[in-house]
Amino acid sequence: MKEKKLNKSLGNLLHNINVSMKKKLEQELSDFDLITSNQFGVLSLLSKKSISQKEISNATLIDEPSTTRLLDRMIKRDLIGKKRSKEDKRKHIVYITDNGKNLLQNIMPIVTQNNNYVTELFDEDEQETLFQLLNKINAKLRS
Amino acid sequence: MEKYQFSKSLGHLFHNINLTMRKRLEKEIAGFNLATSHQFGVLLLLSKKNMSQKEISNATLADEPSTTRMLDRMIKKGLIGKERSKEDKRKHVVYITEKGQNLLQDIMPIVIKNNNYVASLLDEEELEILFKLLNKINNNSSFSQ
Repeated sequence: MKEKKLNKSLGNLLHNINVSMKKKLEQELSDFDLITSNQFGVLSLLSKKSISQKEISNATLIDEPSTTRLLDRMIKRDLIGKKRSKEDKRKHIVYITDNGKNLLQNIMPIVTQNNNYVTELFDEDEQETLFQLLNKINAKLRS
Repeated sequence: MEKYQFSKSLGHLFHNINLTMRKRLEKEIAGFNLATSHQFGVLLLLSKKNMSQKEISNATLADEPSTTRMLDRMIKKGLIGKERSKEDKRKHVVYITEKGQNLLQDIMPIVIKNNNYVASLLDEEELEILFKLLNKINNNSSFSQ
């Protein structure tokens, strides 16, 4: 009976922690005019490679109309841009601009600090265990 | 500059796990009259108490214009409704309808199954340890909701 309760709320607990960490991050990012954790997520994705709008929508789980609006706001601020794909002229891909890269670099220390704050709630042994267990879940979920 | 390591980032891990879980859930609830896991989240919140639109936006971390659009879609489906607050006539509160409650009841077993699946990825001992560690974060004042 006790386990059943644990099982039921693991997803809930993970969700709550994720939301709380995002909230804390958004509070700290609010100094950077208009950067939401979603916008940070998009910048971070695009810093690895240019992708289509549909791929961004899939990766962030934001529906397509909302993704369009989000990207439009970011294009207006010159954080990202859109261009025709070289492989398929009918398609557009989204890329990060120099301006976006600079902003991302300014933001990264804050993101790191936010992460460290949580990590430092644990001693070294606990940290290792926590990373191991979460990585196990993450790997199995993705397999 | 300190190199940022995603594999060592708790925020990134939590984010990834949640995203993958939400994707699984969205696939499984695709047949129901509920477009996204966000809409499920709103129904769940409202099943506990009526809230203002601003409170919903704060709790779900969706910005206010997006929240408005989402609530409008849910009102059209008859899952939720809006009424004037009794305490403050200038304010509106959002409530769950009977149809919304029924839908939530149909979906809950799927959500629970989905949660159980995540828990089943660890053995009992690991689960207990993880729980203890996660609660340490959840009980920290900076993260309590």
